[in-house]
Amino acid sequence: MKIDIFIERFNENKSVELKENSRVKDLLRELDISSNTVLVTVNNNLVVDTTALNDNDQVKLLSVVSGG
Amino acid sequence: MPCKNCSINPVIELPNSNVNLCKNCFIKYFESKAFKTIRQYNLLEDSNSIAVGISGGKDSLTVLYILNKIASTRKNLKLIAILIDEGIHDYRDITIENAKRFCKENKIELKIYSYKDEFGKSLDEFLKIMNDRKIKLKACTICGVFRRYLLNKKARELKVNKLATGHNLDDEAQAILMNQFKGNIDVSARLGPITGIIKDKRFIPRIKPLYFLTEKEVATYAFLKKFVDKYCECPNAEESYRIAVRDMLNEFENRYPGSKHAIINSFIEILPNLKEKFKNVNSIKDCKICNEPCSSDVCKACELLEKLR
Repeated sequence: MKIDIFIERFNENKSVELKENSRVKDLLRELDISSNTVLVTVNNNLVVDTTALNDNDQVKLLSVVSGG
Repeated sequence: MPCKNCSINPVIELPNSNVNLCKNCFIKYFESKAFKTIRQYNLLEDSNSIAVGISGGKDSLTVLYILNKIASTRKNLKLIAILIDEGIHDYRDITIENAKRFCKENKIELKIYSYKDEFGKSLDEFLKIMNDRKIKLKACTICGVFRRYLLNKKARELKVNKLATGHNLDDEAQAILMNQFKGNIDVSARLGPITGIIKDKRFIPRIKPLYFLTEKEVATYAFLKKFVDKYCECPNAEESYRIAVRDMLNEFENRYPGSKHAIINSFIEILPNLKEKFKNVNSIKDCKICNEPCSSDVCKACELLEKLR
């Protein structure tokens, strides 16, 4: 399935192909991003790592780390 | 797995547990944890006036909001927000606007002090001097010294009893590791939910109500409360030692969950011993140049200013 992602920290949009029944944690692993460094929204709802993803979900990764 | 209390969609999985919480349950959990830290460590003891050092970012606005909640129920507790404007183009000017909006909405007095007014130049100007003269100093070193100096001086001038900051569990774990790596164990003795080892009227005690909350928990709370519109990162942050330790610790936490809490919990156990051991190490002197309290003949801020003149 195809997931559209916006990575806020880098102001970057990208798409990722994942296996069916993938979860947020699979997406983060694919992107090599630590779960404790981002908040994840799916279709504008804050979710947890075990939330299931669906085809064409709009995912945003919001940076948790302080801006300095 | 749904929220453990009310079976609706969760917004967070709490660190070191399999507990998921929904928005409302998380907000209750977060606030009660901050309130518990304040009670357990007597952070507001003997206080009728608190300054809160803010940047306009998620951590400082969260601690300001939490303390304002308490102040709204206590007529004898006054809050003042203090913002230090370092003069970092395309960064601080953005967060200042956010801080102003937040304080206006929450009816909190905001005082802004700038490097330009207090030290004669903005941080951007100091960095240019360093670059031109090839002075090997990191931006974060200058900022750390100048910001601490001004926060203490201004808090004292405002006659507050305590100075609150938005430091969270991640910040503290990073500071502990940095001090270990650099062999600065005496500096670690000044850490903890309430800082300082030397009692001196000229040093305003600093309190950290978010001490036991992770950066992710604070970010989640700030997101749910809509405190910050968009992510903003200091352009000078990348070069700092702290960022290297932060990234390493996050990577380690990802592989071995619970590491950050373990650092804090073990540190809290030994902190009383550290404070006792280092309580008489440095006597307080007056800076020969500015008269502010310090441990040497000249304070760190004046020492830096001499180099950058």
